[in-house]
Amino acid sequence: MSNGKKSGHVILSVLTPVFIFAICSGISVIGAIKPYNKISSYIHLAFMDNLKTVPDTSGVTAGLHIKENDIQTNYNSVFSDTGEVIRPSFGEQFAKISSDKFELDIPVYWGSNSELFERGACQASNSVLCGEKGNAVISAHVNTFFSELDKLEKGDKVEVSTKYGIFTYEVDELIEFKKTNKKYVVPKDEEILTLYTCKPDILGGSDMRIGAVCKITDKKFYAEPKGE
Amino acid sequence: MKSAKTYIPCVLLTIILVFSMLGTVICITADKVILNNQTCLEIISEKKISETIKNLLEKNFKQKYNSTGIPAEVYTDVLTEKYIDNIVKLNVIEGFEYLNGNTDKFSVSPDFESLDKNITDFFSNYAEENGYVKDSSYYDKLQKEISNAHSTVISYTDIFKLDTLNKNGVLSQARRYIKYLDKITYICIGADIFCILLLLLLCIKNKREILYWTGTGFTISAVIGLVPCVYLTSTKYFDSFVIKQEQIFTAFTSYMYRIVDTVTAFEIGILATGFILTLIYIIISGKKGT
Repeated sequence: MSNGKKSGHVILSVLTPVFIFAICSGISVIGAIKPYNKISSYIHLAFMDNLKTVPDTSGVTAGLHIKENDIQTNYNSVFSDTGEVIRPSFGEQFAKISSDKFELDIPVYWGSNSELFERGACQASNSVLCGEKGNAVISAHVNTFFSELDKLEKGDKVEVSTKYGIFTYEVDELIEFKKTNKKYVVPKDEEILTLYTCKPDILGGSDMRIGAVCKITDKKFYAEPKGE
Repeated sequence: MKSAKTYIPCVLLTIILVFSMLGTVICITADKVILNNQTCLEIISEKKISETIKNLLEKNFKQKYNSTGIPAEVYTDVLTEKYIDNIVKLNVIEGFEYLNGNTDKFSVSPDFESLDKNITDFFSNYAEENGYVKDSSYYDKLQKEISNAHSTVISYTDIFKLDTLNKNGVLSQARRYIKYLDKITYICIGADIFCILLLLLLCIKNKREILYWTGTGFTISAVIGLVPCVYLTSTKYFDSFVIKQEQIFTAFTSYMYRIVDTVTAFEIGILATGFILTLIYIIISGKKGT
């Protein structure tokens, strides 16, 4: 074998696998597109989350950053009738509810899921914040934070202390509705606070909700909003 | 590679060999790992899935106490790790039996007798203590709680989501193809042997070239199979899946990594064979050249 022929043979020996690899890779990629799409749709179909639970992983709640703030109520400085609300992040405690009818002050978290309901009342993030015009909707478990909600009567005072001000409401209407009825939790034009919980039943989950619709009577924004 | 007459058929046969080898690996992996319930049962034991489920169920029922007033112990006294382990494994066994065509329908009926009894007893004691009349609404409520408890346990223990896959018709569709798996495996192995024999025939005048072509085919096939496996493993691809239920996440990702590991092991073996064949070819060619 002459040197030229030999080097040609070597080049061909090296290039042939490269050529075959290129062809096979191309065919594999094209051939894999359809099965890949099919498998991904099966995986999404089966493994999409349907339990709405957030797993705890070594003390850190995956995907949810719960932030507890110290909401102070002893603000002795200047108040203003108008002011800006401070929008909290999902999972942040931003308010405290108190009433003469409640033994304890109830922490309120922005957003709602099972983890937050364990820690306090939750305000639906599609409702308005206290101090804004519209319907602020807050709910909690009947066996924990809203166990005394049924004690509220028409005319009772409910105070919501936030990081940006104190808002006083008066119970205007005691309500009872089916959980499927969104009448009281939908956005409203007037500035109201809707508190609700499950209607205590003998046992098991209740399909009924009870609560109170409160109208605003006093708005006091902090002239300098409280820090965290 | 002396004449174009043998070169082109050898290239074509090598390409076919690459795909038949890939097919063989996929079919064997499907048979021995993907469709083998032992894989899932091993994962359940190794990853202590039943213990995780027990803890999660306990947490779930404790949380539900806040809205139902039923203490978690009513459920958790019965839902021991062993009990849960049985349901989880039963689910897997029944699912794979159905998938492999050994049963006509997929249905899991765990024994909930003691759980039902606990709930019923609790309701009954509660009603007696509180003077609650056992009317139709009482029984409706009891039935609802029992049914809720069943569906909760089933949803937590169906870690491979076989029930969801079945309801969506995925299992029945997969069954249709799985029944041909054995035949496809034989066809792939047959194609491997056929390609190698044909290559041998084509290289009859220059026998050492069979080493080159089969070595090339094996190596390329292994590389094509290995690239996605290395990517999936090195990027921990399955860890990025958004599966909020811890037990399902653990089971699913472990299962997927087990499949990837098996394919990787096969492909490494094939790659090593391909390298050895190519190396022998180079050595022989070098000796002949000198």
